[in-house]
Amino acid sequence: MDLMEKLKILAESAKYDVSCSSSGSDRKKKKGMVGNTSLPGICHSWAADGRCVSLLKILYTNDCIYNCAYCVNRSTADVNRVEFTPRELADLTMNFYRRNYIEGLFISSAIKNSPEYTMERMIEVVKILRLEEKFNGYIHLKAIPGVDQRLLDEAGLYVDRMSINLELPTEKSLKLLAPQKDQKKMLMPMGYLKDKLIENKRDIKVYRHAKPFMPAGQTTQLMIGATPDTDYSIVRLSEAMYNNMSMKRVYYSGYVPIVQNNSLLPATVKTPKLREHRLYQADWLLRFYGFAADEILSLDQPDLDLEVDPKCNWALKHIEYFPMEVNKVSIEELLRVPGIGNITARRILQSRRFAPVTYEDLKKMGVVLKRAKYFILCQGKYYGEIDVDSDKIRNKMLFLDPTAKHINVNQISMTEQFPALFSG
Amino acid sequence: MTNNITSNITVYLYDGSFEGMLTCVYEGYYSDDKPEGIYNTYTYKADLFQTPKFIITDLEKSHKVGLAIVEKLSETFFHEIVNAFFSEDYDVATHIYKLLRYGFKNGPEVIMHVSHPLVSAVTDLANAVGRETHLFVGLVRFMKLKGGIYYCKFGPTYNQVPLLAEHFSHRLSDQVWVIHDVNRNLAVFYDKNEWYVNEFHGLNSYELDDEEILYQSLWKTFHKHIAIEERINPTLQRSFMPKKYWKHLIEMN
Repeated sequence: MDLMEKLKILAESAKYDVSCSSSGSDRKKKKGMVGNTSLPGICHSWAADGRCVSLLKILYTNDCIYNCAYCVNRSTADVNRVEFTPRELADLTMNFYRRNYIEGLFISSAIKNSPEYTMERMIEVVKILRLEEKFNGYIHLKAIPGVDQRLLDEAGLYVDRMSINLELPTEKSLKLLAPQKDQKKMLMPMGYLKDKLIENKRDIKVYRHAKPFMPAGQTTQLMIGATPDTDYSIVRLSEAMYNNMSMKRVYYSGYVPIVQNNSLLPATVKTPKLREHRLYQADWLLRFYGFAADEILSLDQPDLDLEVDPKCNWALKHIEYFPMEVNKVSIEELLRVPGIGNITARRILQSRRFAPVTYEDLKKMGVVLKRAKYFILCQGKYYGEIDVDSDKIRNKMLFLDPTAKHINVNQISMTEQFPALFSG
Repeated sequence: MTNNITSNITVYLYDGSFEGMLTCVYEGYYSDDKPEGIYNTYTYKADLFQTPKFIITDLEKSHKVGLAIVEKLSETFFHEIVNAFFSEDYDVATHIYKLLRYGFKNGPEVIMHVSHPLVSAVTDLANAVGRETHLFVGLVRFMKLKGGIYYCKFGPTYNQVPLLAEHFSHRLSDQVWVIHDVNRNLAVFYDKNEWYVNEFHGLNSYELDDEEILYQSLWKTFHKHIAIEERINPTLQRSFMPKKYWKHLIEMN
């Protein structure tokens, strides 16, 4: 089969993997090697769905022994099965890299024959790139749960980042949709890699010749919307991933109903993109804003509010902390204000060393005033124009936000309520 | 003297180069005739109330100013000024001159006072240029020509050629490459050792490497099939990758 056809099929099957970031690794150019890596990562293009294309994201093969209900490549699916040779994939990567199409390779795979067999082929690709082609760019490898630790050790020396997918938020969902997979089997290698990373960090400080092990750390991904798991359980899980597994990222992939006629899976998913978006916002609160999972959601309110973002939601529930004087409060407090992010909070702090920050300055600094104005004082003055009251602020915000009207999925539309008005 | 009644505002003109602008800053400090503004002589629009004075670029003087910025202010300061300069904004040199006077008087930390009008005039331009540089670090597309030279044509909004050179000399250090700004007729050339920027009007004809078309179409195929059809969102795609840049992107044609 020709290369074009293989690339088409294997890119098509890799597209449901969310991660495409090339960040976290800062490797300078080396003599005799090709390329370097950039700490914040570089996007090289954007696909038609608006997602960034940074790495050559591809499966090694789509030939799978597993039969996970939600997957396009499940063993019972009727699709063409193809496999790259390690050399083909290495050549493709090098030629794309030299033309500046990509930042590196993201290699994943279906499980052919056995986890070990597949993992060994993937490591072969990586080794050709690093040892023969002298490739010094970014490599992200999707590790396969259940392989021997020896293979993880070997891969870690050549790749920048490894990831193991959690697939679904709970063990129960996994049993239902992917009975051949086992959450414990996924958590074990994650824990092992975490320990290796900590050990390597120490070694690098002590020994001059210690080789870096996965400098960009590990990430994971889970699917949402295919099972009835609550946002609360997902956010709790992510928090545990960040705190206990020192994950760099947890990715969420809103389930796209690609498999029809399966009683286990929903045929349609309501607002999957919006829910995914809200989960990412909650994720950012965990990682960059000092929030705990229990502050964002609780057992009483297990799902994220689709109408307002999680930070706004928190602020409206804790309106007693507001309004805050932007010229006095600490950075931790500033970060709790809706409409103020990490960058703007830092700018405010820098700027108020020279002069008090005015309301006009805030706009210039990039504060989103349509949200922030209800929660702040600027030199003692309140610009919200309404009482500091949760319900009033919430109503005003929704009224002013044109997208909120589309968001409310249960909102009764005027045409339904008064059909006579709109007929003819 | 009658001359002084109508035109008593002096402005300096420089030759369009970064060094030329720094020479004007130097003269602005040491001559009695302090300028109100500094302009590029090629784009300067004559003004009834201004007396333009052309300053000849002096590398020694410009070097002194550059060194003073790095040593007395900071490297951040220097980078902001470089980035802002390549925006080619009409008033950029004037803004830089005023910010430098303000900075040398008040210390390096003024660059952080982003709400100050003298500071934001420069940092806003620098941010706009920096954003585009970061975008082009990803969007530059090389074609392999017969003979092994990698050639890229592009048309950035700001003058990105000098700003991209360093990045690609690190990344593709074992290739011979050319990045050519077709709007400004400017290109950076790299010969596996060093890079230099020069005027360049393009090649009359060139022959592609035998495999070039193959890899271009492989890239197009990959780009097309990596998108999830159920989630097609052209507005989002355009907001990251504005249409004005599509002309030279292989995957968008």
